[in-house]
Amino acid sequence: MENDFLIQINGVNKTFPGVKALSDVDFTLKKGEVHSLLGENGAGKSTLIKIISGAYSKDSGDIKFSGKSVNFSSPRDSIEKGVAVIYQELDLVPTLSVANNIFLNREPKKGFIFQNRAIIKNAREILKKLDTNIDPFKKVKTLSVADQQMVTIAKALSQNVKILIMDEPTAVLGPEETKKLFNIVKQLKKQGIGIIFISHRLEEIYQIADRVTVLRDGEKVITTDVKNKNDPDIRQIIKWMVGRELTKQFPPKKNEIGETLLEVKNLTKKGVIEDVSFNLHKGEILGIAGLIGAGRTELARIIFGADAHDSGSIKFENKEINFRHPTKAIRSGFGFITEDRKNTGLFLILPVKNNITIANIESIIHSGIISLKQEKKKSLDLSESLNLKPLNVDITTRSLSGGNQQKVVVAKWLFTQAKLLIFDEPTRGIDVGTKYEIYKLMHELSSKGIGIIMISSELPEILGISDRVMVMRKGKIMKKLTTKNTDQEEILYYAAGGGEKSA
Amino acid sequence: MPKKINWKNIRNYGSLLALIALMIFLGIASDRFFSARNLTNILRQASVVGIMGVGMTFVILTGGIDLSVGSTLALSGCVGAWLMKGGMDWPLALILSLLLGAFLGFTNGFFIVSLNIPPFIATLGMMGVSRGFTYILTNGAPIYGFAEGYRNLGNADIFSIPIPAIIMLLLYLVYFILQNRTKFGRFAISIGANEEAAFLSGIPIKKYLLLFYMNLGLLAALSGNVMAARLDAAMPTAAQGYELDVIAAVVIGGTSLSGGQGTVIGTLIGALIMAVVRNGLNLLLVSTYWQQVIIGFIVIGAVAFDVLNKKIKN
Amino acid sequence: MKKLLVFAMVLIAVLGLSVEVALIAPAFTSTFHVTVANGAEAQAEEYGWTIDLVAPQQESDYLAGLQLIESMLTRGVQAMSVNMISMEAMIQGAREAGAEGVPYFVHNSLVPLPEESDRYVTAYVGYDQRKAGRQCAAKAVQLLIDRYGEAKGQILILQGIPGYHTTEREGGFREIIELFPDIEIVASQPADWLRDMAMSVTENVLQAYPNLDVVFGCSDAMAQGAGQAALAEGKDVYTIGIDGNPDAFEDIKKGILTATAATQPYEMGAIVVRSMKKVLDGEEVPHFIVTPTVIVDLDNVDDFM
Repeated sequence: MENDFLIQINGVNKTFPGVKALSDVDFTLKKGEVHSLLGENGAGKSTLIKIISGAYSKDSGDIKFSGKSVNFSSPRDSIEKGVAVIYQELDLVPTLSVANNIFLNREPKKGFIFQNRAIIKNAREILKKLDTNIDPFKKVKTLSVADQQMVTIAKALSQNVKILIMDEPTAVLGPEETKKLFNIVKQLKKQGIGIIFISHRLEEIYQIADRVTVLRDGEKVITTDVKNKNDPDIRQIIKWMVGRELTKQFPPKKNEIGETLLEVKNLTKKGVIEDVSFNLHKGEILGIAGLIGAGRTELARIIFGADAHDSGSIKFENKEINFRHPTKAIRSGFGFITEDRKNTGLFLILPVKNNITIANIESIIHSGIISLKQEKKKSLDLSESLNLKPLNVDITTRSLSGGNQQKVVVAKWLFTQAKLLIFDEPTRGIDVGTKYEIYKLMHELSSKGIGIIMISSELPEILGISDRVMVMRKGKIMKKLTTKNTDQEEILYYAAGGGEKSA
Repeated sequence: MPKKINWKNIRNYGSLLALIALMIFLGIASDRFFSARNLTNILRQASVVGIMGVGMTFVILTGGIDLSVGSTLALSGCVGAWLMKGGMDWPLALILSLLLGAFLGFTNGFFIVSLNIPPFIATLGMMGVSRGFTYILTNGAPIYGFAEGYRNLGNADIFSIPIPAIIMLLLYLVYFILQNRTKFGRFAISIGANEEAAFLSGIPIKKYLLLFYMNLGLLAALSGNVMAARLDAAMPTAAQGYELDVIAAVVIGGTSLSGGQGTVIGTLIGALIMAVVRNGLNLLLVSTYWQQVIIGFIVIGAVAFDVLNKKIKN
Repeated sequence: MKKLLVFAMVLIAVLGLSVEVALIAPAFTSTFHVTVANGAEAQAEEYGWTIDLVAPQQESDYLAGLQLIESMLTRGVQAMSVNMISMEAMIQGAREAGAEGVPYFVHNSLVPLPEESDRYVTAYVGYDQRKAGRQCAAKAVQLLIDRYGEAKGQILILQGIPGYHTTEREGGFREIIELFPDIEIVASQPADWLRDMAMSVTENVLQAYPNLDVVFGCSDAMAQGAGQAALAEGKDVYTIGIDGNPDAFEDIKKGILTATAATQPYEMGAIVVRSMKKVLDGEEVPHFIVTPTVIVDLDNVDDFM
């Protein structure tokens, strides 16, 4: 009997020590459909995916692949069944070529000898199917993130995939690249491949998904067809996800802009940033918009003292400063919430409390000895005020969801009582409910007189949160705009090079 | 002083159990094993590796390694002995020898933080440099016959506990507090857990790395003096291969070679396990070749236990 | 099985049915020390004694050597004999054994420890290196007389790493040679106890002195290297060494080595145990017990193999 369902999951349960990650979850995936899996961080999406891909084993429940019950004990089992997962962190070997990555471990060979010509030829064919012009000879590390993702998809396709799981594939892509990705997804659908699609950008559902399933706190809330832009309505989806009404995507502003906090003049670092001048006031949120590679993060690192600059000056609270190390910046009241939480923001293998107190450990040291009592109490208080889930500062930071990890980073800078915070892509990989909390928090911070620099690639966020916007391109400031007098189009115009003086 | 020990945080529960099991086994196999004299022997025998182990723990916690400790031990010990033979009072010679150890550690740290040479390579190089200088200084010959005060450092007892063991245990107490209750330990573990995040959290990484390598150099020199005092002779060939024993003790104690995880108490247990195995098998007349085999398996077993433990937790 | 054996040994020791003694070697990585141990074991067996034969893994690990001494004291051995490359490093061991009243022998060395610690040593058992050097010189003179009908000719000396051993062996050799004015020591070159280094030094010297008659190596390995070099150059050079290891005997048969002053490690081991017995029986032994060295050449090599 031909079975239309690629996957049928019935009443699956999974418990981790102290957490019920999934309880009685049902889920199905049909041939040729895009099924969007939604939910806040910690709702159980990742767990479900890991069970499907065999990385975790279920505690109970039934999983059928093409009508047959299975019980995977390792990812190898699921790969044999045609499951491929494209994670946020792309698992490619950076130093190998595109073609070698696609056929890694499955190289066509005669005896022990790789048939390099066949590898290249096959890689070309697959890439062609994906309508990209990536050079199969190129080393993966030289590719853009979008192209690397394409290589991962090519790799999946080359394995005769039947089920493709995409975990936030658009998070790292620009608008053009996203469009291209969706075209490919549509093409894969036609080939009968079933796709599980996870995204925090809800508007994308209407462009791509056939059905959605919403998870909340490890339980399934609903599975429903996506008919049109109003059914289901985006507010309704958010309500399902967070379990309450979220009337606005962005909280209302209540900050008052005060005197000048930071004054940057003619800041230059050869080949990185050029002649950057701007002011930031107390209580102000200054957005920095621009494309990837515009020099925004580099600018932030220089201000924070993490990198050196060649010329120019920085004044903070009317005093000339020139930090040569973040230590001094932090002591003066700077905080930096980095873009890449896992690699530059957090100590994942250490407890939450260590992460919170590290940048101001002095404050809980008395005659040389750290007060563990104060450390626990203070970090717990901060975590509570930020609504950290689970509210436990002794567990490793790794075990938290992305949104909660971000809260830990924020808590760290609240603990230093920073006067100026740099948020670099503050909501990347964070779900709607937590996003709102983070925005609210930014407003609260600014209303207390903290100056905030927010680097973001999400224009709605820039427009929704900041008071002023600075658009950067190729290390230079292209335009400074007042948020309420501008719109997405204008920002994009300058970010893409519009208004550039021609030589 | 910490008020209570959080047993949940002591990851080396396994190695402690292993130590107890080993002792019971050896106690059954040899009726001399549990004699007071033999137990103090074990403590004394653990001290040379143990003293270096506590310093090595911090270096490994940062994700580093130091292969030069055996050579640092030999050079510091020989220089101290040479100064004493030249007529210097032993306390002054001891202090100068310790300073030399700290300087050698500083040199390691300097190569690592300023020239960005990987710790493995920098310390491998220094292993040769220090050993070479040791031979140059001594012409390959031992320096022997020290003042009694100095010899007591290695051989005397206080309340029938050997002084080297007292030195070792005091150091572990101090470093236990340093690890858990001061910046010293907090920064070591943070640097090992994520160096970039540590940098962006304002930790002066270079300064602290220098400090950790200097600290280890100093402790290696202390070990060197304990050994020279013990033998009443400073040997230019001393402690060849001891760097691996020290690293093994740290690893057996549950410290991860990739950094960020581990405890000094674990290392103490690791050093005791190695001393117990060597001592017990000596008593049983098992050849030192077999001892090597057994300790090798213990290292692998300890790490395998750790890996399995983590898997189960997942 | 092993446990049972240990148990039985302990039982026997406790009941006083047997004597347990120990021999601690610098390491069992050289034939010499293994042979000493074999000789000691055979003698102990003859007495019905138990002998513990132990050694650190590497010769340079003196701390491990000291720990072995302590373990043997813990085992309750009635006497022990120790050899390390540098005996000074075992002074503390001598003190500890002395404190327990356990006779402490030093074997393969006749160099007294510094005065303060010398009194802990019951006896030194070893061969006289200077005498071995003299024996080699006598053999060389005899060979030259056989060749020329008178005592004349050219000699090369290959030295080991500078130190006591080289000084004694070379000194003994020179003492005799210098009695014969027509025998010329053309060069005395270091070859660091190494066979290959001895080969190249000999090759070089043969260029300058094509009529070289004798090479004296302060060890067999160096003399053997010299023999190989001479053979390769097609020169008829006598080569004489000190040690008398089995591979040196092989080379005597092959004609690479002319003669060696055999230090008889097997005999040394047996003498150690015999001396222990005397001490345990309450007899006096000399402070320095010299073990015999014998010149071995093609005529008598078969007796030693």
